[in-house]
Amino acid sequence: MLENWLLGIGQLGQWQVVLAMFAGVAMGIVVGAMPGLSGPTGLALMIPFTYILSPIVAIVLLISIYVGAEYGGSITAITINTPGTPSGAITAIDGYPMTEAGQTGRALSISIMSSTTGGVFSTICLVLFSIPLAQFAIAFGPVQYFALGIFGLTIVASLVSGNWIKGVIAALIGLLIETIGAEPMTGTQRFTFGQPALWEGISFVSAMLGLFAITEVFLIIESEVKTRLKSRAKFTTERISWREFAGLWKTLSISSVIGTIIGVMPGAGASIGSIVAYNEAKRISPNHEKFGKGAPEGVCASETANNATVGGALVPLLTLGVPGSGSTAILLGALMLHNISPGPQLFVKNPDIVYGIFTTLFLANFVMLFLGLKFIRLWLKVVEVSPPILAALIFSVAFIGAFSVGGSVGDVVVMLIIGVLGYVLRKFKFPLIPLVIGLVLGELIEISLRRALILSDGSFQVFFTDPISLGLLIAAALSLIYAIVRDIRAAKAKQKFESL
Amino acid sequence: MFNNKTFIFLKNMGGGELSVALVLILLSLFGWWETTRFEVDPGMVKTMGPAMFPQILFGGIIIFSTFLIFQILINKSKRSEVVWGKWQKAPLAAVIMLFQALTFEELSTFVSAGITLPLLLWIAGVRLKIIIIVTLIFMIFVYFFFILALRVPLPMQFLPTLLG
Repeated sequence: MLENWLLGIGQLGQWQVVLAMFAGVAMGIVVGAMPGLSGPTGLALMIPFTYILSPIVAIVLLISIYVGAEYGGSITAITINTPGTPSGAITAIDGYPMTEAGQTGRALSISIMSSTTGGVFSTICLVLFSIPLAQFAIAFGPVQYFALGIFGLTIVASLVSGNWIKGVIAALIGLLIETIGAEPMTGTQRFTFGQPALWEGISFVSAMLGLFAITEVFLIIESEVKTRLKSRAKFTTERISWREFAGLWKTLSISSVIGTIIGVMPGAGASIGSIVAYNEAKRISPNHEKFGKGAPEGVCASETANNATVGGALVPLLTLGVPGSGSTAILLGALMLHNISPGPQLFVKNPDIVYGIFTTLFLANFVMLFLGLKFIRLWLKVVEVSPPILAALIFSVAFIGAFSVGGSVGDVVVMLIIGVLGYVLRKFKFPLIPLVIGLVLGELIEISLRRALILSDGSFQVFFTDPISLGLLIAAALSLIYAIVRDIRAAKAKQKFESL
Repeated sequence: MFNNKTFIFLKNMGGGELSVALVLILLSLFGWWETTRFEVDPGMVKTMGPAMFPQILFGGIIIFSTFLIFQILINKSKRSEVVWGKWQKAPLAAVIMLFQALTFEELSTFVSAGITLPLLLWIAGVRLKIIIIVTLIFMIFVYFFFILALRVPLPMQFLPTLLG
């Protein structure tokens, strides 16, 4: 164990790694703060350029972006009531009233200190729980992996969307996109229509850039938002003291636990973590009537929980190779591009990478604290870039990124086609996260299914006789039943409301 | 065959979503047909060949798209939930992007981006002065960051000769 920690810490001793951590956290804060942009967009834009980096530098950069982006959303939420991320909307409920009351500095310092606390707590949980979980999962074979893939995908499809049918269709489209190109077991060409650019399948980088960058560009250009974001409230630099912050220990502890648990659940994510933690903080607070009017506990609960989801979300990713959100799906793809396959074997084959990730998460949270407290005025200036200019620049960088990976215009065209698909799906309220996870898990699910069937002479019974597989498939079915009941209730409530 | 009433009915029933569901069903049927043409290795059971997985997925899309149609019809949505902005802008942006993809290698990075970036900014409603400034700054950034620092092999065509 100690050897592994030394290996992990040793990986971070190079200056390139330190630079990547600072640059990644700064980039994450910027993309998180800019309304319309998000952590997944920032990660997708950076993946192509990590090719020239060593695997550890690339991983540190991407994880630091992920950490920074979860915090970044609170900056604009607090200062201009425009959340940069969905979870930032919960922070804005109390953060913006604090700004209006001339307490911007206090709100921002609570936000960054709480984010760091949540992030560090969830990293400790990640270290404690991922190692035994990986040891348990090491015996998984194709039967269990197939069931695990279906479980992850179904939970995300049913939880992430307001409409479970659209979630499932999106997941199926993602799995189908993954089948394009040479079939993994026999090499048979599928859906390539004679196009050499498709023979090796859809480039992961092009797909991610299309879904997250190009789709966003279309939406920004269409929305015609031209105004620059600028805070009208008076900016104050007065910070909360560490002593005052320690007084929030109850909110900090409960929100850290809630955020970490929700982070582990596929499909739940930072926004649900923030909502649940906020409600719980309000319930237990003796000053619950102040919530919504500028309560420091409100900012603290939301920000602690959303950063605590980061460590939680990495538990299933690192131990099982199953991502539960857009950001972790992109991280999984990025790790695979560097020939690192997350899953139980990673703990055996690449302990240096695993412990490098643990150490990065710890340090990135403190880098975030430093950058968040020292350069707040800079972040506020950066988010003033007008959305149309941002859109054009995102397209240009995505274009260069898609081309740079394989030096092929075919990859760029694929990126544009997938961007158009993502735009149409988003317009019709199909969630993109199940699609991304389907795309990432497609090969694992198909290979596991076919290997399991070959081993069982074509009998599907094998998935129902193995207890782990059966348990996962029952859980997947229950998540769908839950989503169906939820949607029926929502539809009835809507009809009742309309009839009134 | 279809009168105005039919179209109004479809629109009232969330016509956009219905069309998407129908398109998905049609594309899945085409995809299913395409899978029947996949080669199967001798000795491999056909049901476990390369067509099996895509066929399951196409079957799933057909079933769930049918569910979606029933859901739309049962809920009797008064109007589609889809909100379109200035919708012409997105297809126009897509054409400009495609133009850059198709001319990128022939014209070089700088010439094709020098045409498309200002066009994109223009359709996004940015003022001319800002367009010129942003384009120039971006070109300089591409040269120093992507070409010199990251050594991304972007097509340069005649530019190196021109610049000596």
